[in-house]
Amino acid sequence: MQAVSLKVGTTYSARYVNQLYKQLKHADKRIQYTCLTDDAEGLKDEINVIPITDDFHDRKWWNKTKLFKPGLFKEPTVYLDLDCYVHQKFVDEEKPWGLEPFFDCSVKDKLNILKTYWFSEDTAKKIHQCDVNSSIMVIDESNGEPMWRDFVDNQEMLYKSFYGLDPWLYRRHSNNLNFFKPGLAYSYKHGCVFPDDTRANTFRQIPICVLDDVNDRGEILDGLW
Amino acid sequence: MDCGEVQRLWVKGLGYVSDKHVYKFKDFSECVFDTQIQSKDWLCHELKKVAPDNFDHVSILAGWYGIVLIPFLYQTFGEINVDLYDVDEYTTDIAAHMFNDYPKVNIHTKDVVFDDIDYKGQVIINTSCEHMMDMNIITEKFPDKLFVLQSNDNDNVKWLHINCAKDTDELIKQSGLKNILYRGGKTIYHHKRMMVIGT
Repeated sequence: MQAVSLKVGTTYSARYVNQLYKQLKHADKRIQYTCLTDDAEGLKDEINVIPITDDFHDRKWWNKTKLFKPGLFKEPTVYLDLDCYVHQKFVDEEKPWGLEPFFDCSVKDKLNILKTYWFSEDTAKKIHQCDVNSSIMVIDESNGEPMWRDFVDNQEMLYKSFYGLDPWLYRRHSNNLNFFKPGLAYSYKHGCVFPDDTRANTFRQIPICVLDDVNDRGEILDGLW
Repeated sequence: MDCGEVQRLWVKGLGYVSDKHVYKFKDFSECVFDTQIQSKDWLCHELKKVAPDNFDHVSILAGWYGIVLIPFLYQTFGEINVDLYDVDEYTTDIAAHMFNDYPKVNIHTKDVVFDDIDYKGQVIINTSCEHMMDMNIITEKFPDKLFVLQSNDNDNVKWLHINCAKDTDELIKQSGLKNILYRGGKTIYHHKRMMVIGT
């Protein structure tokens, strides 16, 4: 099983990458983990490094567009933001765990991505103007190609029109996206699935926790590690 | 500028927001902030000095609800034709309701940067340049139109203010305008707001 993350600049240290690798290895011993980075110092030797440059100093998350380059991945690969946490299995032996469910509900020819199920449709579309969350994606050899082509052709327009990737993907590539099933990941800050489970700032027995938009995520993750 | 019509429209819009788009309440409440009143008043005051004699049609880009600008334009120039464009379908739905008794106002759900739009009228206004790509991509397509552009230096508005200008020089550079009829700046609530008018 393949997994990838991306580290540029100094917001996230090598420790974030190594910890994510450790969590993924707990979830699947066969994991092959790659990190795209501008600084590989401190990364564990088992991590495959793909060197990249930091081309977006103000909003570094736009470097994630490099993941969409056709041919970068030979087989479906799960991407995780460095502030994600992969839980170890808790108690339910029958419940699918680890990363398999993300691959099981992925499709070819579309970018497989997380939906903000923790918001109602109204909250997502009327307040946040976006129901896409690129913290977790499954990328294969070519499913990022429409986004890659759009970004290569329109980089300045996109960078100056969208704060981040999520509103860009929502606004311009909704037809190229496939959402993971609900209940595979959750937002620490907002919950899992609206309206049944929206408890804020709570950990759950669900494979992956997304900590974006959490002010003290460094401390929270440090407590988990 | 008299704000009576702005108030009437806001009350009308508020009822619609309450019935149909309650999630837009915060956004709608902000559309009549003092900053909106001051910047649109300033715009009309300066545009009046340089507007073409035959001015009877304006296109407003990324116009949000148009709740302040359209009544102020009507007070300044009479009942001109207005095409207002905004990318958010819920915003335009609310705007269309508010202006349903304005026969010369048309509301369009369009992305002014990425959609191919044939803008009508002699004047194109964009008071939200800090939200989007440099306006030179539009000014170069419409060399015969008078552009009125506003931006600001407040890059603390996360998610939204992603292409601010630090001063009028930068706004002019972003705009690609060659013939500047007006340039100026004001400090409004601790942030610099700037405007250029030209072709």
